Amino acid sequence: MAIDPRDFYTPKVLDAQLTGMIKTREPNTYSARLRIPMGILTADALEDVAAVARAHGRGEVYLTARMGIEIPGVQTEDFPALREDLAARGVALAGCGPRMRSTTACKGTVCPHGNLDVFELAWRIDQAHNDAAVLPHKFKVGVAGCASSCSKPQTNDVGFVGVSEPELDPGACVNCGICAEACHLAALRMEQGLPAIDPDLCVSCGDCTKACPVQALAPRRTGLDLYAGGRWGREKQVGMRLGAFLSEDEAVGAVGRIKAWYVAEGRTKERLGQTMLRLGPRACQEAALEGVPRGKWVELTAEAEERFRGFR
Amino acid sequence: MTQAFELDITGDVCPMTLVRVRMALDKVAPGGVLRIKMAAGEPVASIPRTLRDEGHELVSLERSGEHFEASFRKKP
Ligand code: SF4
Ligand code: SF4
Ligand code: SF4
Repeated sequence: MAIDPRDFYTPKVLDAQLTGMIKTREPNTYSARLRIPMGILTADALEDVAAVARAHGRGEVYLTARMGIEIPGVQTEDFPALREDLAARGVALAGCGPRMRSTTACKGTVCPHGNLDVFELAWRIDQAHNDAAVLPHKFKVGVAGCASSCSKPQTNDVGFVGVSEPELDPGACVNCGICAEACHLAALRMEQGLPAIDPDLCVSCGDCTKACPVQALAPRRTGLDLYAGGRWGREKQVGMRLGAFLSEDEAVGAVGRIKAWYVAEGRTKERLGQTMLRLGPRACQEAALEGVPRGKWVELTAEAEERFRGFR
Repeated sequence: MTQAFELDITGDVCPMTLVRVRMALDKVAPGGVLRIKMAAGEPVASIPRTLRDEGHELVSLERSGEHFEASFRKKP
């Protein structure tokens, strides 16, 4: 990797960026970004944050778009004391600048639509891969429990969506039609009393299996779809689906392999989606899914590549 | 044979549908039957599942036009 963050930050700001200090328009004043994976905080930690905001900020906090907290109004000279105060309370400062961000998650762990324990997977990813390493640019990972994608994982550099593919046991079906009511995409229609699923329309959200009152529809397989290269800035790209029905271990591993590929191949100030456009998404897929059975590799069609080009 | 307790939630929307089901269920004795008339779509996709997950037994389910009628036996 040929990246030197001093190329694009002045040394003073670089030091600030290394430590969760976000520059603001007010002179000599920073916002302290806290590391809050999945946006989850105990009530005790929340009180700690409140105390730190009173002692070192303006007694306010700001909730970020990625479910984090910033403490605005911190003077440069007060930053070391704020850092010590936070550390003593077990609250960490978050990555900013060309680094991995806190992993975001929807509430799929408790949501009736969730196909997996989203918090646990997001936490595993964050524990395994969220370090202070300098990357070509920012690097975001998001997880959602189902195709509704409430945490917008497809706008992250790496995103996961929990999937559940339905399978019918015709003998158990009582022909009630509830599954057809549950399907938001009209992918499932009742034909001669039995549900028929159009595989081209089905997004494996699993709602039909969850709604069936007699469990005649049950998951044939569950897992995680992998999206890569999403970003939502001046230019926008929707992450490209590279893998399907990955296991949780495969998903955690894929984040590490994509990050390593990005470090090796990415240019300074280039987001993963741009690296993928420059080198071809297939190169990223090969790195991401190394060792994953071929049956889980999504075929990268010309239409999908065209959509992935993004827009402004 | 005890008479089924009847509830019509066809005019309600989420989350009042489930709130009214819970209030009705409170009035049914364990082992007793609650018969619920509900609209197609979201109510029928979620209420039978929720009651099943909580251990109540689905004893019958019919479609009548735009509505569904489901009977549940409250868990003993
Ligand atoms: S993405 Fe799915 S599981 Fe997650 S909160 Fe939204 S509906 Fe629930
Ligand atoms: S899994 Fe979701 S999209 Fe597919 S048929 Fe069932 S409800 Fe419809
Ligand atoms: S909800 Fe279950 S029982 Fe009813 S039609 Fe669908 S598969 Fe059959």
